[in-house]
Amino acid sequence: MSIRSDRYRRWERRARTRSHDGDTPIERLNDDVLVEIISRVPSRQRWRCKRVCRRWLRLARTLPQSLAGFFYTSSNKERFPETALHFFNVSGGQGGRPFIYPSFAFLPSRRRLDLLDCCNGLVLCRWYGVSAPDDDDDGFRYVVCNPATEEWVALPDIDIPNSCKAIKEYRVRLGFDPATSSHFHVFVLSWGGRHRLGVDVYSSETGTWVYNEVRLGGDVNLFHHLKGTVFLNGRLHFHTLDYHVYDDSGRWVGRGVPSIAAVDTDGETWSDFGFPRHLQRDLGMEDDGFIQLSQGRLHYANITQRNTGIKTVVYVLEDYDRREWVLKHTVKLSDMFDSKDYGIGFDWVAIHPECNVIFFTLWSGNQFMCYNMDTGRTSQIRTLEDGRSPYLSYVPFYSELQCLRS
Amino acid sequence: MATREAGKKMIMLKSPDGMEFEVEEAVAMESQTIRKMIEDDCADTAILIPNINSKILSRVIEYCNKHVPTTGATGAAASDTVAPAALAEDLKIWDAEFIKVNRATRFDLIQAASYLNIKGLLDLTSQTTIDTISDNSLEEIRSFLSTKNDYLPEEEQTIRRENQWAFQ
Repeated sequence: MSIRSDRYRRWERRARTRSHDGDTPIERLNDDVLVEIISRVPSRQRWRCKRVCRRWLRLARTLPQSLAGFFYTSSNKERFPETALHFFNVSGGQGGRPFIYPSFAFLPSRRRLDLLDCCNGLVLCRWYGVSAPDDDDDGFRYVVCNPATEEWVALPDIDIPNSCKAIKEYRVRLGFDPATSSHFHVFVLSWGGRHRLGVDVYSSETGTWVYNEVRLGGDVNLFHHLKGTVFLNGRLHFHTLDYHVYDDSGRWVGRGVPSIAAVDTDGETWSDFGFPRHLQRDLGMEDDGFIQLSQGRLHYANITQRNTGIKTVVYVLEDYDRREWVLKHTVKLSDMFDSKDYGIGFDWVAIHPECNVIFFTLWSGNQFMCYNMDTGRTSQIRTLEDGRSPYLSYVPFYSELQCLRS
Repeated sequence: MATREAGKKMIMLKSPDGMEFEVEEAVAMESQTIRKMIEDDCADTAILIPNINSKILSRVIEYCNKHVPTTGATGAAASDTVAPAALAEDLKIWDAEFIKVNRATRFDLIQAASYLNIKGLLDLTSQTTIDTISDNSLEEIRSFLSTKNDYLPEEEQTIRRENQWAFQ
């Protein structure tokens, strides 16, 4: 036992006795009350609570955390290993060591690990066992893990229709919201041809997959496989592209129009999540934009090229039940960055879960940038060698979960 | 709420130091904890309020008395003559006076408001603490909370790094 850890334990013992004495009034407050107080501190200021003392740190960590940084995969054929997993901080300042080392050493040894999604501290990945042949893309298991507690669970196998596998038309996403349930769901959305979307939902509560299928109204396509989804109010929200949109005179608008759909954890209730049609038409959107959860609300951002020049627009779903989208922010693209860079590797990454900050990449992912909607300032966070999408935002979750005990 | 013809129903609250407080049921039911006890018929005789001494309990009752919705004969008369906005203003002034207590009492009131589940009182008593945390330096926060920094220097360094944001 090292001197340092002895000293550490003595310290801890002393700290413990002192808090049990309850000699100051705040220490007399029990954990529940302190958590209540900490939860009322605006999230922007909540880091102060963590720095007060150890007890406050422990309690503050039981609440939803702030964005720590991003996972991403780099790829370069000229080096070994060709692909590698990385993590970089957006909190912790420049030059600090990564908040987390994505070696995932707590998982059984494997040949390859693909990160697919992050949701409130849990990570969904494809785990390829060491014995799986190199060229076997199907020999994997889905694994859900929590890097903060190093707990993990492998999901039972699922039968994805070969037709979907062949054209890679399926998307796998994770839904976890510790505020409402200590269980997670995994959604596999598959594209079964015209008008038909299928979804397999795995529930960690039942330990089984359930399949359901829906015929959506128009001629709808699945979102791009690198696009993020949002798990909110027990539903997974995702993009669709609707090819059946007509203008007021009944003329076809001539392109796919972005729309938002949602499916619940039973895979049963599907809703066309009503991104307003007139907005879709008026914006003249080229891209399907992206959706994100920020400050508890669904956000939608995109670039519009209509009339007044190229602009970024950000909408927020003010009233979830009434599906009331409100324009939250608009900025000329040329005020965000040198707009000749647009189109050269510009891509949305995320909106900060608590602040009005948008993350995006330029030059094929090499420059990782952010734009602050409150100050109107853009800054470069870092240059990422060989980086490529997806960049998965990671908010740590420190509680242990029964459903992750394999 | 229906007007009670046959006088108001009274509830007895007991503090652990043996004091008894007789309060109107409606006043006691400002506390969601007590409301639940009454609704579950656990409140036939006196209700013992653990961990809250008589000094604090009397202040809590004082708060509930002031904040109980004015209904019934006298209440209706009062709201006929006084505009709701004026009533709210009056309550605000009263609250500001009420909360002029020392820190120890305030923390005890927070604990009591949390245990008894009285949202308004919890909002009122915890606001100063929340403001202090939001607007002051760490040293000021610790001094306000009368709590000591028990981090080792290297731990403090780690926590500090964890919470700096790259985009500010």
